[in-house]
This record gives sequence, C-alpha cells and structure tokens, in this order.
Amino acid sequence: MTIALRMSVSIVAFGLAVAGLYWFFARDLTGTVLLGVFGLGFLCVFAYLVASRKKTRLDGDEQRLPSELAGERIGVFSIESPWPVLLALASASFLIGVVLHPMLGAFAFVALLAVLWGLARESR
Amino acid sequence: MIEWLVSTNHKRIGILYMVTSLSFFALAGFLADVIRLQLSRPQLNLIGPHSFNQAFTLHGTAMIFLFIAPFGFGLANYLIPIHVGAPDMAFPRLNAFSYWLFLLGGLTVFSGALTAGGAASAGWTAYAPLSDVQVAAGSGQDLWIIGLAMTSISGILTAINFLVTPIVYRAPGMSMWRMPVFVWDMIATAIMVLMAFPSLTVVLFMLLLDRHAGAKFFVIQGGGDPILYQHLFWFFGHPEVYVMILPMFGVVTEVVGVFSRKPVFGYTGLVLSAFGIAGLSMGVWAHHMFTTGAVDDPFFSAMSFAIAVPTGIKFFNWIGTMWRGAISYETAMLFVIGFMLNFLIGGITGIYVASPPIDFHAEDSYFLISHFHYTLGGGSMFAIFAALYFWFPKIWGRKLDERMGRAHFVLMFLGFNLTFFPMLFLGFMGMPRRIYTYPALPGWGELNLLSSCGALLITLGTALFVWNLIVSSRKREALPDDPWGGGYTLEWATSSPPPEFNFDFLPPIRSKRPAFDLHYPQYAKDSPE
Ligand SMILES: [Cu+2]
Repeated sequence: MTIALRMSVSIVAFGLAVAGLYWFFARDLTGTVLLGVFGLGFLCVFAYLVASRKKTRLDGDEQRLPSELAGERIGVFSIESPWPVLLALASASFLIGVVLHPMLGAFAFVALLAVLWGLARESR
Repeated sequence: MIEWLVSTNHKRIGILYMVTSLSFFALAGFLADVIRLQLSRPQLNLIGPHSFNQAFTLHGTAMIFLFIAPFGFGLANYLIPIHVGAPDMAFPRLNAFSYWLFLLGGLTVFSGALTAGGAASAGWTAYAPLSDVQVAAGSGQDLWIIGLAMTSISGILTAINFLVTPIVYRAPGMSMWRMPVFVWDMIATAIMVLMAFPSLTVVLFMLLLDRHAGAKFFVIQGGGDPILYQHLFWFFGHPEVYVMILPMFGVVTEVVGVFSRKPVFGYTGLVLSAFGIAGLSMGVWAHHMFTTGAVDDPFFSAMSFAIAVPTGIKFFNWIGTMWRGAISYETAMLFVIGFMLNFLIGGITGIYVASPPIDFHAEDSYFLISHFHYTLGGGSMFAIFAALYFWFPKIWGRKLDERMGRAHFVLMFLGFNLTFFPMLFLGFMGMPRRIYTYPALPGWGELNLLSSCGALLITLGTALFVWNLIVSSRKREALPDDPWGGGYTLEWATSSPPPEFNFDFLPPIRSKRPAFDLHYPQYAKDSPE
C-alpha cells in the first residue's frame, strides 16, 4: 500500500471514529454529519486512488536508488496563459453583479462563458 | 508587467502571493495602529464607534484571510515544486487562477470602505445577526461576504495543487519519506483546507441568501438559528487557525535544522504530529462556543487539550534539533527562537481558554485577544519574517542585511510582547474586546498605554524591514547555490534565483538531504527510504 493510500485510510478512519465519539457524547446530529462527511469525502479519494492504482507508477516511489535517472533534462511546462486572470476577473464581476448590480452580473455572465470557451479551446 | 499577468509559473505566482499578502499586512498593520491609538487613553474619541468597528473588522479580516494564510500559500507555491524536484505545480493554470481570485477577493473586501455605509463592521467572524440585513444594511457587508467567498474558493483550488504536486510530481529518488517536513506540513494543511473551507464558502452564501433572498437560515423569527452560523463558521474557523500555523511549523523546522547544523531531529514524529494536529483540529470547533450553552463543553474541551500533544511533539523535536547543535544566530534563526517563545505563551494561554470554567470568565475579553495574537502574531508572523530572511537570498539572489535584520528582530520582539502581554491582565480585569473606548478604571489606562507604545515599536520594526528590503535588493552580489551553508533541501542545490523550470540538472536524491549530499559528498549517506 502506498503512503498516499495509507494516509487516506487513516483520515477516513479518524473522521468516522471522531464522528462516532461525538455522537456518543453529544447526540448532536449536525456536528456528527459534518464530521462524518469529512471522513466519507476522503473515502471517495481513497476509492479513486485504489481504482487508478495500476495506471500511476510514480518515479518517487522507486525503491532502489535510480541514480542513473538523475541529471536528466527536465521537460517543458506551459509557462503562460491569459485565461486564469480573465477567468478570475469574470467570476469576480459575476459574483458581485449577481448580488449588487444585475446589469453587471448579466454582462459578466456572458464574459464568463466567453472565457470558459477560450480556456477549453486552449486546453485541447 | 504583462508577463506577470499571464504567468503560470509557480515561482512567479508564489512571489505574487507573498508580495500581495505583505501589502495587505501593511494595511492591516496600519489599521491596528489606528485601533491602538484610539485605545491609548481612556475616554478618547479620535474615531467614532462605527469607524472603530470597521477598523477592527478589516484588521482581523486582512490579517487572517489576506496575510497569514496566503503568505503560507505563496511560500508553499514557491517551495513545494522545488522541494520535491518538480518543474512546476501539477496544475499551473489553476494555480494562477487561484492567485487572481484571491487578489480580487481581498480588493473586494476592502472596496466596501468606498461605499456609502462604509466597510463591513461585524467583526472578522461576521456572526449573524450582527451581519444580517437589519443590522448591517450597507453593501460594505455584502462586498465583505463576496470577497471572502472568493478567497475561500481560491484557497480550496490552491490546496488541490499542494496535495497533488508532492504526491504525483516527485523527482526520481524523492520518496515520500524523503520529502522535507515543510512539504508534509503543507500536505496536512491542504487536507485541512479541503475539509474546512467549503464550510466557510457555504456559510457565506447562506448569509447572502438571508440578506437578499429572504432565506431565514439564521433568523430565529423565521425558524432559523444563529447558533448554526457559529457552528458552520467555526467548523472552518478552527482548522483555519492551523492552516495559518502548520506551514509556519514547516518553516521553523527547515530553519532550525540549517542553523543548528544538524539533521532535523525526529523526522517521523514531525510528520505524524502534523497529521495529528490536522485531524484533531477538525473536532474542536465548538470550543469557540462554550458560553453559548448549546454545545457539549466536555467533549470539545477534551479534544482541544489533546491538540497540545502533537504540538508538544513538534516543540520537543525542534529543541531536540537545536540540542548540542552548532547554533548560529542569523536573523532567520532569531525570529524562529522568538516564534518559539511567543508561541509557547500562545499555546499555554490556549490551554487556559480550552478549559470551560476559565473560558466563561475570559470569553470575549482582552485575555482572548492576547492569546490568539500570541499564536498568530507572535507565532505565525514571526515565522513569516524568519521565512523572508531565510529564503529571500534564494528568491531574489541577494541576502537581506543582517545588522538591520537583528535590529528589526529586537524591535519586533520587544514591541510585540509590550503590546500583548499587558492585554492578559486587562482581560482578567474584565476589559471586553471590540469596545471603542473605556472608562478610567484603575490600571486600565496605564496598561492600554503600554500596549499602544508596543504597537509603535512593531511599526518602527516593520518600517525598518521595508527599508532593509529596499536597500538589500539593490545590492550587487553573486550568491552561491547554498548561501547559508549546509542547506539540506533541494532549493539549495539550484541557482539563486532558480531557472525557469527550477533545475538545470537535478542532483541524485539518495537521502532526506540531497543538497547537503551534493555539497558535502564526504559526509553523504544513503538512507534506506
Ligand atoms: Cu479554535
């Protein structure tokens, strides 16, 4: 079992244990559900990790010392994109508009759709 | 200019986060000075009660949501990929988006000050009914809610990167158990963010629905319950305390190791205690609600006491690291020692208020103010300065001036304790928080004046720091990869500042201390994990 799996299992177990303990002492439904949900949420993470275990062989988990792997040139990552800042601007104006200024909200909604479209195109 | 706007590089985003959060710190610090000036003498009326409410609301909001937590996020953004030997974060564009959302959120909060009714004034906790539409009718409160919802969502998105990058993007040889403790602390922080921040997002939207859509979540007359607000808020709010401190525990661990010239003592204990803290922090939220009479006091008290155990383990391990080490007192190390002393007071007063009988007396008094400023100001803020002195050479390629740094530390340490130690006594004398003036009761005027003088020292210290930044960043010097000597973690194995993708060549990673092994091969030892 990888460390990531072990981590998720312990979090799930801890969440459910505290939820049980809390129910035992406080008999309060809201808090028990809150605590239970954070345990169960990580159960989903855990399930996902198990399901995708075969596909993910991680370099870092290599047990022997792969010194021959070191010193390699590292690949290229994308370094810039205009969409994150535009998406932030559009969603901020949308939120503010919806609450305080419907016209701004409507305008921002269109902008938001345009930005999402641009982002999706870039991601292809 | 444009390249900063569109950059998705984690180092640039990290720097943006740190610079932005320090700017919000300056603003929040200015507001603190306004508050301390107003409270320096009894019966003063420099600013009226409404302005005072806005001042402490924005002060608290900015320090917590816009300075301490995001500074940790910025530092982690800069360091995590380098620490695990990755070229960037797992999701660079998501990372950029979360920064911009955070910046706009912060500006939205402050933009409330420009509205007719002024900025939000319901305190940083914005308890219903103080924040409902009958009491806080102005749109300043709305902007506060929207702005914080944005920073909250931004925090969730950034946590995804902090979690995925170290799990998926580690370099060959960088097994989980070889990662720096800082990275482990950030993983625990990210888990807390993912569990706790949605609760804040939800409660803020519920508040908006109450205010604008006639929902009655928190209105008793409509069958709602203001206590529900407190539950949801603190289910986020307590873990948030650890979101602000765990990254700083990571900073302290890295700095202590390098300046004690010893490997970090008790690596496994430091890692496991981070998860112990993260786990327990999810189950203590109602210790903020002891006096409501609506929660199970013994349960939450016991859970809160239990957090002292993993925190104590961390303290023990730092002292174990320093023990018989060849300690050198660079400014970063001084701030770390200051952190330990201050945080100790914060922790011990925390044990006081975790006990319901004492809390019933101390609740909403200056004792509480002193307690959490010792953890967040004396703790997190001191660690933030340690981080700045420690990593500035890596980030900017210049060292900050050590003489000015030491003076900065002395001013901060004296100023901080002068400000907040008297508050412990004011609290026990019964001075309540969030009052804009007070009667001339015996001792109150003197203690408050001391406290205000302390705030002046802190301000002077901060000004000196800014001066140091300006002067030192203009210095011309070429720094080696490892300017402090004996650095362990991978950032000290690449140039200062690092190249675009962090490493031109990645050194072999055969232990927890790859940079040390590279620079001092005669002492290098392969470790099994
Ligand atoms: Cu708490």
